[in-house]
Parts: sequence; structure tokens; C-alpha cells
Amino acid sequence: MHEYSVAEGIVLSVKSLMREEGLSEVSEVTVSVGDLAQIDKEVLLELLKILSSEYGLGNVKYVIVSEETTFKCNYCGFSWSWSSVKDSILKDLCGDIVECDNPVHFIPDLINVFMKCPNCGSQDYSILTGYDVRLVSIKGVK
Amino acid sequence: MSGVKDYKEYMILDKLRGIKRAVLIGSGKGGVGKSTITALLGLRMRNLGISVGILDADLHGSSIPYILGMSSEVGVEAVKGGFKPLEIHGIKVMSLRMFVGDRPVPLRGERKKEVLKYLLSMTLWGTLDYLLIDLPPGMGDEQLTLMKYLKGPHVVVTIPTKTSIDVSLRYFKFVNDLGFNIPVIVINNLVNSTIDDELLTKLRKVAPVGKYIIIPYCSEIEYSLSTGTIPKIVIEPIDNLIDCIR
Ligand SMILES: Nc1ncnc2c1ncn2[C@@H]1O[C@H](COP(=O)(O)OP(=O)(O)OP(=O)(O)O)[C@@H](O)[C@H]1O
Ligand SMILES: [Mg+2]
Ligand SMILES: [Zn+2]
Repeated sequence: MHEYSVAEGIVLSVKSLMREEGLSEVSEVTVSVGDLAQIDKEVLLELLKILSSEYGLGNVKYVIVSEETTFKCNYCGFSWSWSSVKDSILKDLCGDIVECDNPVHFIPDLINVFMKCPNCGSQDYSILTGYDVRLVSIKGVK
Repeated sequence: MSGVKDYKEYMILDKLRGIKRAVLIGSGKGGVGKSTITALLGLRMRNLGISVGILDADLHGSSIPYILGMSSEVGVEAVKGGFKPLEIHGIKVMSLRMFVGDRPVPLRGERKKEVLKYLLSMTLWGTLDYLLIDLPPGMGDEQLTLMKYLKGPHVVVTIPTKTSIDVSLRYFKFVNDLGFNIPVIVINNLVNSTIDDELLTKLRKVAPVGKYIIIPYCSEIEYSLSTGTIPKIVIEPIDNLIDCIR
């Protein structure tokens, strides 16, 4: 379900950006997806296509790039990746290692509430790479 | 065109479209009754047949669901297009508590901004006569972020002590300088003291707003709100408050 909201947000953004940039047509849109957001990329792609035609954007090619989410502790300086801890965190959140509807899937920034630095236990760390779903680029004609 | 764009920015206006009026309830100072007054306003509006929602913008000290008697177990429901607000005593409520339960929320400023943008861009308020925003204390990330998107009137709350009025006046100036309309200052008498003229004169000098509304001390306020009812002695001042923000 959450993928629908994300797809709708991206399509709405593309529509607004077309207007802002004075584009008459959009050919390609690149979206990066950090793995922390636990987005089903196939579902996202499918929804992007459906919503693009619903919102009258025509035939847009969507390129989805996966990005690994990495963190750096603001206390001890330790760095780690989401993939190295994902199973144990999701087990806490979902009861098993299968991805579920969980608060971090809905709002990735909330990871600090649910995960501690594996080295020192601090909840004060930054997201270095793979932050959320982002619109990276739009190709189109004026 | 390239460069990272935050898709949430574009969704916010879309999600706020059905809201006739947003009212921000703030104060520089903590513990003066902002959340209590927000809850009173919500319940009274509901009783008057006005459709109302509350955005609990206090990320670290979320209290609206608790004040309104909601159990901390209730989680958020994601539906097609976003998050469904909880319906408590006929008021639509969105709060981070629905995502984190009783856990503490250690977040730095930049991330708080993103969390608020998520709540604004994903909450399905539908149509509302009023959206009330319960602000945390301070003049930081939450206030600055929300004031970028929600341009409605601002209610400043203080208690009748010199310390509180001192901080609240700075808050008044902060909000006023950003061009927000402050139709009323609420003096919430939770210290149950007599409000002397000296205090009121000081307040009127620095914060010349249309109205000052005094909410009396009420020992059963907490219990009453948790059951969705409004103590009789605060009905009249709350009705006056509603008149000020119409
Ligand atoms: N008029 C009143 N009479 C008696 N008690 C009150 C009154 N107003 C508020 N209180 C009590 O004072 C306490 C603080 O109120 P509240 O939580 O609404 O303040 P706040 O400004 O929202 O605090 P914070 O800055 O932490 O968000 C609560 O326990 C509340 O029940
Ligand atoms: Mg409060
Ligand atoms: Zn650490």
C-alpha cells in the first residue's frame, strides 16, 4: 500500500517539475531507492506506469536505482550498512525476517527509534547513503 | 533536469487542500497547557458540529493521543494514498505515537523536519473545517518547518507567571515577525493563582493582540479530556477562543 503513496508522490512531482521547467514531454525519470525504505521496486515500477497514464504524463520510462543505506555513528564514528543488521531489526519489527508494513517502511527517518549503533549502542547516528526514495533526474523536451 | 528533489514537497499541498483553516497552538515555553487547549478546542468544535483534526507535532513529547484517552497500542494504518488518521472522540488525529508507541524518539533537527514532512505529505485528512496543530515548546525545527506549510492563525499560550510570560513574549515576537496572525493570547491558569494587573499590563504592552482569554484552573481537566468531555467551567472561555480564530 505504501508503494502507492510513494508512486503517487513521484508522479505528482514529475508533473509539477514539468511545469516548473517548461517541459512539454518527459521521456525518462530516474528514481533512487535506499534499501532502508523496504520498497518493493517491481510494485513501485508498475504503479509508476499506471499512475503516469492516469495523471496524463504519457509514456515515461522509469529507471529505478537501488542504493545501499549506510550509517555513521555520531558518538563513536562506527559505520555500518542496513543490510548487515536488517534481519535482526525486522525480526523485532515484524516477528520474522520477511519485510512487513512497519514504521521504518513508512518513515525511514524513524530508524533511530528502532536501531542502535552496533558498536556503542547509541541512537544518535546519521544516514550516509541510501536515504529514502528520491527523484534523481528527469529527461524531457521543452 | 537533474538534482535531487524531495517528492514529499509536492504532495503536501495536495494533502492539505481539503482543510479550510489550520490553527497553530504554540508557546516558547513547555508545560503551559498547549496540548490541553488543543484537545479542548478539538472536543468543543466537534460538539458544535465543526469537523476537526489535530496534528500532534510534538515528536519527542507526543501527548495528544494520551490526553484524549487513546491506548498506546494503536498503530498507524496505511491505506491507498497515505496514512489514515485515527478517529478519537470524533476528532481525526495524526501523531508519531501511532508509529513508535511508547518508545523514545531521539532525532536530530534535519530528520525531524523530514518526519514532519512525511506526516504532512501522507496524512489523509479529507475535508476538515479546522486542523489544529499542537506544537512542542521552543522555536526550532518543528515550528519553522510547519510554519512554512501552514499559514493559519497562531494561538500563543502562557501561564500567569513572570517566567512564562517572559518566554512567551519572545515567542510572540518570533511568530509575529514571520508575518503570522496572532488573534489571541491564552493565559492558562494552571498554577491556580490570582492574575494581577501588573502581569496583564506587561503582556498587553508587548503583545498587543485583539484578545486575551483566561482559562481557569480545573483539577479534573485531565480525567475529563480522557473521556472526551469538557469541564463546564472551561466551556465559555473555549467558545470565546473559537470566536477569535474563526
Ligand atoms: N487549566 C488547567 N487546569 C489544571 N491543569 C491543567 C490546566 N491546563 C493544563 N493542565 C495540566 O497541566 C499539565 C501540562 O499541560 P499540557 O501537557 O497541555 O502542556 P503543554 O504546554 O502541552 O506541555 P509541553 O510543552 O510538554 O507540550 C497537564 O498535566 C495538564 O493536565
Ligand atoms: Mg504539549
Ligand atoms: Zn556508536
